[in-house]
Amino acid sequence: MATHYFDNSATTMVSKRAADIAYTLMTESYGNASSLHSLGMEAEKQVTAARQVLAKVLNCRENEIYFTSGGTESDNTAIYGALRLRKRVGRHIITSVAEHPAVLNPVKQLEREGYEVTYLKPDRDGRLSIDAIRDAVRPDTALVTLMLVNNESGVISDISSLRSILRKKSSRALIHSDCVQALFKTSIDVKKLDCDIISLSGHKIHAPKGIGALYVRSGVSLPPYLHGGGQEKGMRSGTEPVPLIAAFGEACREYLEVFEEANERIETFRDKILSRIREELPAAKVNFTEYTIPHIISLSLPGCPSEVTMRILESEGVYVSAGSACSRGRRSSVLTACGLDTGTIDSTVRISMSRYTTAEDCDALVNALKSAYERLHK
Amino acid sequence: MNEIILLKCGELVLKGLNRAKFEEWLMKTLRYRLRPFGHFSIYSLQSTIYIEPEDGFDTDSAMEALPFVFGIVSVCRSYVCEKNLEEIKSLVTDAFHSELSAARTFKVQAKRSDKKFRYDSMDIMREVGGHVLSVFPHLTVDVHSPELTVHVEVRDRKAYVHIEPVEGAGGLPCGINGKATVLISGGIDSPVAAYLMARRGLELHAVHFFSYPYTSEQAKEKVFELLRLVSRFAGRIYLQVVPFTEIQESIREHCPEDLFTLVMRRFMMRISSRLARACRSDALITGESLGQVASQTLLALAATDNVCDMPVFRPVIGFDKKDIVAIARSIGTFDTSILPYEDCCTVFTPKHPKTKPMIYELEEAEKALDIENLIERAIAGVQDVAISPSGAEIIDTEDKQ
Repeated sequence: MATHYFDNSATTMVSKRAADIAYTLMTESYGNASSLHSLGMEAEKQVTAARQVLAKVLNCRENEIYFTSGGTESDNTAIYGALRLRKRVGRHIITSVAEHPAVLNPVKQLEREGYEVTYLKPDRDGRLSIDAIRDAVRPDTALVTLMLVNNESGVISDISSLRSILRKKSSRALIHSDCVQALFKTSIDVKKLDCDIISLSGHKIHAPKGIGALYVRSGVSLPPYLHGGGQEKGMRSGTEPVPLIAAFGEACREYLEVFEEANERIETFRDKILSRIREELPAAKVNFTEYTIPHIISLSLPGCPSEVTMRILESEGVYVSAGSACSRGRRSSVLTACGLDTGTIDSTVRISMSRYTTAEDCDALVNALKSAYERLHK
Repeated sequence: MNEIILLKCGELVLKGLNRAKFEEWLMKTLRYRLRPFGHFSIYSLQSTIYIEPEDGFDTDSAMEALPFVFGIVSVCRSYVCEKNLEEIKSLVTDAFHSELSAARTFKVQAKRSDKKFRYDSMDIMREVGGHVLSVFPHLTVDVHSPELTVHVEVRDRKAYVHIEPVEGAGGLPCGINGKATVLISGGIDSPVAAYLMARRGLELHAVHFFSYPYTSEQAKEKVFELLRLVSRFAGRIYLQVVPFTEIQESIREHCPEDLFTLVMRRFMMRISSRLARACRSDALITGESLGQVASQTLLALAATDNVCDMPVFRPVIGFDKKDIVAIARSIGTFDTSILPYEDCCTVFTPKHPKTKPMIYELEEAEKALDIENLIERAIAGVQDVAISPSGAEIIDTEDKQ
């Protein structure tokens, strides 16, 4: 049975080019990037090359990119570091209830340790209101941490207006944005976004799991989270995982060549999926319609528990994410925060595409959704 | 110092002429359960079973395993010596040196089943107590609530000393009352019911109804784990997983919504009793508790029993939920039972299930279904699993032949 993979926001297939370079660097050029001999230099070159590509993607300088183990480490480093750097400013954090656990849980831990946190709530369209953000800023606000693209709704937030809000309030708070779901799906030009710190992850863009990056604007001397041998200019100690870094770089290089065309294609797929659903499955509801990236569709099939739908689709080779678990206490906090009713949340699946998604995949998806709906409403 | 484990057999001693058979059965179980821990000899005398470790026997692990064996009320790790008062005295102070050093008050409890021994139990208590006090002068005797009680038993062959015994699992030896089939769901009640009936000496055969894709693989794994926990007491359990989706879908399609659960329960009983017969099991066990849910009202139970031609044991029928939970906690199944995997079959649950169903209504509703065919197809798709305390092992159909 063919596999139709629609869970790319969970993780993606590693591209052949990225996997090949990782394999070569594991088995042939396996030097330590800190070694002074030729094998070490070769490894160091690979790391530098990857850093250059990342800098090109974000439109920043090479020395503003640090490699980490992934999104979670990047978020933790950013949050703990920013608060230490701004400890004289105060102990107040602004975030949103719809953030990823890699942001929410460090923030909750800090709250237990005495920090004050304002959790903003998105509107029904999944976005935060500018007024609410402005009202939350206080003289002692040290950090604003908000994601660019939400992993469940696919909604893009207006991160670029944060700087002017803070300026008007003469706030010295640092701005961090988790851009893990945004990379190559919407533009992350740091000059336009104007963030101080940005978290990225490799495995959402066809690089392997276990590699991520942190952008830290030059002039922001973020203290490190991990101490040790002083790699990454002391920002992130630990022997550089050269194969993973190079694969991340290669995945970016490959994506740079195709992303505009790929995103257009994904947009037409999204439109086609949605128009077929409107016609052939009129009961289904699309939870978020505006401000979304085309890669993520949050879809509710009324009366169909999301986990059951997921398993029925799986039996036809179609892989989606049960947007939320149907048992009490595990209901999606993102969808709840956006004000969706419990019936909608419990029947929501998340469909997420990548540049490897094909027109046949989309047809198989809609067919499987239809048969699941019919089976559950017989 | 020679160690020995003494097992007290509780209600077995009340059996009349069958007692030897019961003891023999229990010893057979013990030989099997203790085999992983090394060599030992086992014999019974005066309603007590003696386990004498040989070289290399892992007594610590055996002590952990014995409280899971049904048919035993208490487990004592004892030390043995000749029936000589001086030897008994020095054995007590040597064997329990650290316990006696830590305690503040103690007493000696003696029992003399060998009436030819020249000291009676009062003498033994006085003599041994006096010796303990002379070695541990910080102690005082407290006969009412001592921190530590030292037991001295003078029996036919030897003298034994031990401190507090560990409570045994009680009940009757595994399998001595035959075999029964438990319908296991993954909730809190059915593992408790399985445990309670196994404790009355039943070997367990289990049936689980699996509704993929309405319930998940994890829900099935959860049932494996629950039965594994029960098998620590009950011994190996033969589980049969019945594919149930087709039956549920055709009931939903053809029967009135308010009868859904009961028609389904009747299918479960029919299939379980057939599977039970096929493996020489003579009763069914369910975790039903009267009135707990709509399918467990008096009339609902009557309606499900109506399709079943063997006894149905419901050991928790008169228990409140909190009583069942207390047992589930004590046998270690509660934390697994409350894992949330099985909540997803809500697609089938009727909003207003009938609580006072009449059997003729159900029979009428079932006319729309090809009962025989549905049952045969479900039984043809059964998956066999062998559950033991070390885990679940799926039995391939070819191996079964």
